Amino acid sequence: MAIALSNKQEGQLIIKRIDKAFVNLSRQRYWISVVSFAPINGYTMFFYTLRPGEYTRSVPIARLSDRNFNQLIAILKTVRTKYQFTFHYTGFTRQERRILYEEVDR
Amino acid sequence: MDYSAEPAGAFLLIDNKSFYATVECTERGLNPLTTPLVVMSQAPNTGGGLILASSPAAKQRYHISNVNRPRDLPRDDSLIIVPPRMNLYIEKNLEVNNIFREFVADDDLLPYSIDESILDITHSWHLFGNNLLQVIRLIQHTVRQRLGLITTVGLGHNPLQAKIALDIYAKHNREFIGVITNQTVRQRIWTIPEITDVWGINTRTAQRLALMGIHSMYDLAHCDPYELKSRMGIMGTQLYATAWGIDRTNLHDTILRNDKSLGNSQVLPRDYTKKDEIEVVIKEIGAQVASRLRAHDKQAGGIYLHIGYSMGVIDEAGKTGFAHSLKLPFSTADTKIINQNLIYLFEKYWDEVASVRHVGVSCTRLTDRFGEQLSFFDTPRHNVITVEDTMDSIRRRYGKTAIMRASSLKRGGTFISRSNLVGGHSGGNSLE
Repeated sequence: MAIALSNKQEGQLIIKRIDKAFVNLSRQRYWISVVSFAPINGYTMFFYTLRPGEYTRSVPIARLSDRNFNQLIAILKTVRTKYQFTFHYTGFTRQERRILYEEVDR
Repeated sequence: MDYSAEPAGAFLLIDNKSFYATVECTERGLNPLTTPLVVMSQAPNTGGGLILASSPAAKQRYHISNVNRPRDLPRDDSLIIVPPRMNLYIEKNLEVNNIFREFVADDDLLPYSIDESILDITHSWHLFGNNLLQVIRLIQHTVRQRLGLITTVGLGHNPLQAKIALDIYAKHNREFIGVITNQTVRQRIWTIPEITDVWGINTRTAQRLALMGIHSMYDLAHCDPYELKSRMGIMGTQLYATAWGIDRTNLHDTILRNDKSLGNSQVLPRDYTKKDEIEVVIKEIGAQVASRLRAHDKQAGGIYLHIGYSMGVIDEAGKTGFAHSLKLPFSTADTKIINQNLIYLFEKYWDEVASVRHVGVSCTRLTDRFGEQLSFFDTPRHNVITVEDTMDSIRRRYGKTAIMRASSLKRGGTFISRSNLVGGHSGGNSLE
């Protein structure tokens, strides 16, 4: 049975998963994709890596079911306390994107 | 051919297009039709990696298909490689079938595989549209809207026609819909250019048909059915019916499965050369099969062991492995007895030199598990089975690794590392 986590705990868990997936190599690009995913009434997150001359790799780092927009912002802020990777937002409205840039990315 | 005597309904065979890849694309907010994405397992026993699924765009652009290896992948940054999440795909399969249940009764739905289902909409289609194509489009739209998945649909008067329509026509159609009816069998089935493209006809069957001068579905439909039956038995009759688009399947019929055997096999993460390490794996698989026996309320009267050597390795007899069976003195579901006999077979036939890469175990001669023949000379086996049943209950409740044999902690054991796998690939359920 899944245990409900607080936003901070969820953020810490995502950080642990990024810790496993992130290997600091030169000339390698990294970014995190945040997707507004209606079927789970929440969001999914993926960690992407790309080396020059290679294919892109993407691993799942979060599947946030039944979460609202404010909870997502709190979770992303927690992730930002350790990692400054670029967030690519998919499936959000223009207003939501503006809020995310102001609250999380700035 | 007079089809008036044949059962004719409205059957759909619905397939989720590039299922694993489409699920992964939609989870990432990507268009599955235009994003080149590949699901690749990189478990230790895949020899560097194994491609499980490719999106339609990846197949078209890079000519990637399933069972390719990482070395076949182009080094292109627009190609996205993702790990499998088998538990997620099972969950999506259940959600898709729940959507199908909104259109048909439970008895009229048969999940055929993880990405295909058969629907009998003969008596329900009129509740959802004015014609069958309208209903099919509604089903496709509903699945796409709710889950983001793309479905291809074959429609026919029976499941066979629906299957052939799906495989041959729907997958290459803009709307992803293919139709075959009793009236269009000549145009749709007899004109199929490659006989091996037809469901139920593989390369070996095609070779056997070629020996009889049958090279196409048209030839198959016009051959002598009695000669076909005498040369190929009941399969010949079935092939003849396939050529004419005839299928008398009734989805409501209960299929009585006669469990002839239960088994499991494993490709090992490396070459195993030490006897005690190989025996650990054999015992783990034996325990797994015995647990499944008990779960099915069966006991086995025989065991079967298959050992595959490493690539390029052959023994003195020139074989790349061996497979032997053994009849047990009495039927049992006791792990200890099954394992003792498996080890006996292994020690008898292994040359102690060839390195092992594949292990398969089956329990055969299955009977129902009830009672036991008591003896004055032996301790009743029932108590031992009760211990095994208790272990099974603990695993069901607390997880596979909640209780295990100490031998699994030895070097060579794979029980713990495989506990999170589903169908041999990463379950992905915990994201860990």
